[in-house]
Amino acid sequence: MGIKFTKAFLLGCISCFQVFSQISVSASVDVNKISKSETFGFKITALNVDESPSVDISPLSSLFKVISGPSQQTNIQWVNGSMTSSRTLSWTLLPKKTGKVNIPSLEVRISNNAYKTKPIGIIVEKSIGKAQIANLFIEAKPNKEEVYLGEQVTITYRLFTRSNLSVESIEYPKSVGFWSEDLLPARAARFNNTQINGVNYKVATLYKSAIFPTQTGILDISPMTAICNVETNQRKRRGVFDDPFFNSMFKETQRKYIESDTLRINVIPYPENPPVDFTGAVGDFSINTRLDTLNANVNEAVTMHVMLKGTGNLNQFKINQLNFPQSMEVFPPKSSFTRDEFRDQITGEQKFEYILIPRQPGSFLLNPISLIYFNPASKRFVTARSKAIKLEVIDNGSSIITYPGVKKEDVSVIADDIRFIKTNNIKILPHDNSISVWVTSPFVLSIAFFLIPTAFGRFYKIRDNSIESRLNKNALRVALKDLNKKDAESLSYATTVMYKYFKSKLFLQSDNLDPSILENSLKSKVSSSQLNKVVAIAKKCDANRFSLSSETSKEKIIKEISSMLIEIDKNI
Amino acid sequence: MKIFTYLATLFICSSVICQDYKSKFIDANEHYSAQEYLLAIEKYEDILINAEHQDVYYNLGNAYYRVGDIGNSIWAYEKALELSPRDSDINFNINYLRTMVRDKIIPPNNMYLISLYKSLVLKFTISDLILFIGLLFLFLSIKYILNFYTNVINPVNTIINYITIAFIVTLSWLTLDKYWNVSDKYHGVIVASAVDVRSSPLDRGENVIFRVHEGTKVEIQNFQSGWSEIVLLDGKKGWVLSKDIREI
Repeated sequence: MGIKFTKAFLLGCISCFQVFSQISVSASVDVNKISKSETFGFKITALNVDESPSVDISPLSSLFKVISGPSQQTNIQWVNGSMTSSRTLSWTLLPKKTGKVNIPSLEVRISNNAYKTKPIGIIVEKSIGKAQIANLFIEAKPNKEEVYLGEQVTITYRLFTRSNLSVESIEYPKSVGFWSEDLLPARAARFNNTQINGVNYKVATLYKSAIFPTQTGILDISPMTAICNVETNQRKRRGVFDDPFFNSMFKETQRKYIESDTLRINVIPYPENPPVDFTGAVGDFSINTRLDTLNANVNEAVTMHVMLKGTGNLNQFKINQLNFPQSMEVFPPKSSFTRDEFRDQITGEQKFEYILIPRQPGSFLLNPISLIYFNPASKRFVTARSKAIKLEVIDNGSSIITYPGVKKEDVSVIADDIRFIKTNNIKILPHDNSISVWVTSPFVLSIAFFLIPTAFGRFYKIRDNSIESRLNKNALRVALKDLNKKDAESLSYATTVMYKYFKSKLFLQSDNLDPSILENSLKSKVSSSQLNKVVAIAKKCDANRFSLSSETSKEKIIKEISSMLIEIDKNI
Repeated sequence: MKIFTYLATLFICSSVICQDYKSKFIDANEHYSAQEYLLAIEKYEDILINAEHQDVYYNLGNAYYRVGDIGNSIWAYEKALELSPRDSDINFNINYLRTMVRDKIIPPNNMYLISLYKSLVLKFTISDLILFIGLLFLFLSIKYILNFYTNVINPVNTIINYITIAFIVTLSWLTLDKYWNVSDKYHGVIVASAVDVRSSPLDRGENVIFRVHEGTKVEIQNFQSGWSEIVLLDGKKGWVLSKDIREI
């Protein structure tokens, strides 16, 4: 066990030592003499490493453009029992400069160890590739090289070639300071035949764009670059297949990187100062307005079409704010643009649709709309004007008065929540199931009200009763007192007193009493002798009432009445 | 004299207690405003042990809502609604919270008149109804006095009398009905987040018949040693643990 372990350890140590001792890093190029538009391969190979090396290629970026890469390759070889492994990183590079170009020393990191490659010098020649360039190139051609601000420049990119090729990828030019619009949408190149200086070429339009400068000065347009796979008819070694018949089957392709020239456009300012209302329109335009109806009802929508036709930087400028009558509600316009596809100059029609709602009846004149534009052909500012339109608005009676400027809208709910707590000054009472005074008081009151009439009735009755009984009680006393009065001389007076006594005593209602009524009333209350006496006296009184009898008889009768009343009073 | 002393002591005591409640209420409101909802809940509940007021219940409901206890919140609002059924704030909040209750219980479809009657009963407290009856009586009695002394017999008068009496009878019926409802039926709100309703008051696995969630209002029909028999609005019936519901 121990021996085995030691062996293994030793073997490991040795192999490690071997591996470390043999690590080497080298850089290489596949060709060291190229023309400017040619690419070359650059390789970094690391021998006897277990992991991929990492390389910082930033020092290359100022001298070369990386077309592709890095791609990785691993190679393992067994020779006489000993293993060699190599890892390769490769790039395809395009030189940016001409002359002698040095690929600088690069730092390669392999498992925390840094290795340096050796610098490599290559020669980039301007002239050597001329024939090659003449075989394949991109031509960039502007229609103008000096334009006014906002004036259109059309640039056409054409690919010229003498051999068959396919375009792999295209990088479209970038232009700073321009508004660009594609005229010919990028599509697969279609080749036509042409001749330049007696040499046959195949030509394809790759791209066409209309650019509008947005600033003055000398502006550069970056070149357009393309990577093409070019077929090359290389002679092969003589063999079975060396027959023209097989040529088409054994065509080799070569990847080529091509780019157009950098274009330079001189943008010049306008020859005169633009008017205040100028919004940037350059070209040649006409403006037209139209209403969908000339007679409208109040509160009925009318559409106003503003049509802007012409050639120039359409879609890149605004038309001035339109002035509408105060009593008209105007909604923001809808704009649409239709382009005439078959022209290189951007031509078309821009439409604005305003929706007007007249709120008051009347005759309205819609002001003409004007547009100031710069015409590069005549080199001056021109004003295009539409015609004024008259709109008749009739009140059809169903108008709702609305005030311009006040637009009501719903209160929009943003979120729901409960309402806040109540912080009123309240009186908190202990648990109490009894009914409050407020609730019971109407009942009490109503009961009281119901009882009031009855209660009042009773009260009056009792009072009436009490008067009679009081009279009843005092009847004898009052009667005797009245009889003994000095002025009680006449008999008729005495008679009245007597009857008054009986009335009070017997609760009689009638005031006109006579002996017969007295007799009936007293019948049940006194003895017959007394009754006879009373009736006799009453009759006597009645008989002597109006006769002038002697004083003595008068006094006698009064005395008789007195004694009779005293006697009778005991019984009734 | 004795009675007078007794009344005076009662009055003083009650006013002192009132003052105590009021200070507690203000205190609790301050806690609520400071977002110390748990303290506010404690204070409000303390007041409600011996006293009641719709505002206290309402604020308690708010505080419970703020701490996320929807069941107790609805319970408090239901209590507040019982005391003041037409308060717009209470109605707003309880309706808002009812939308958060998970259980959707559709009560059996009633006839229009019956639902109108029920909503009428719900909108008034017993005191309100008794007060209405009292006012109608008062109206009748005043008319009686006027008639008694003016002795005008008018057919319109008679009709008005009959109508008033009809109203009194209707309102009396409403009051009685409401009273029976309040005194005989117990209602409660589920306060536990989810409750299994069982077919019998036994905690066994197989007798779960349905499940209700917090905030659902139920009618309590029966009590039995820690269990309550509940009936949902749509008639579903079962037993739940009494601690999971809070009686209104």
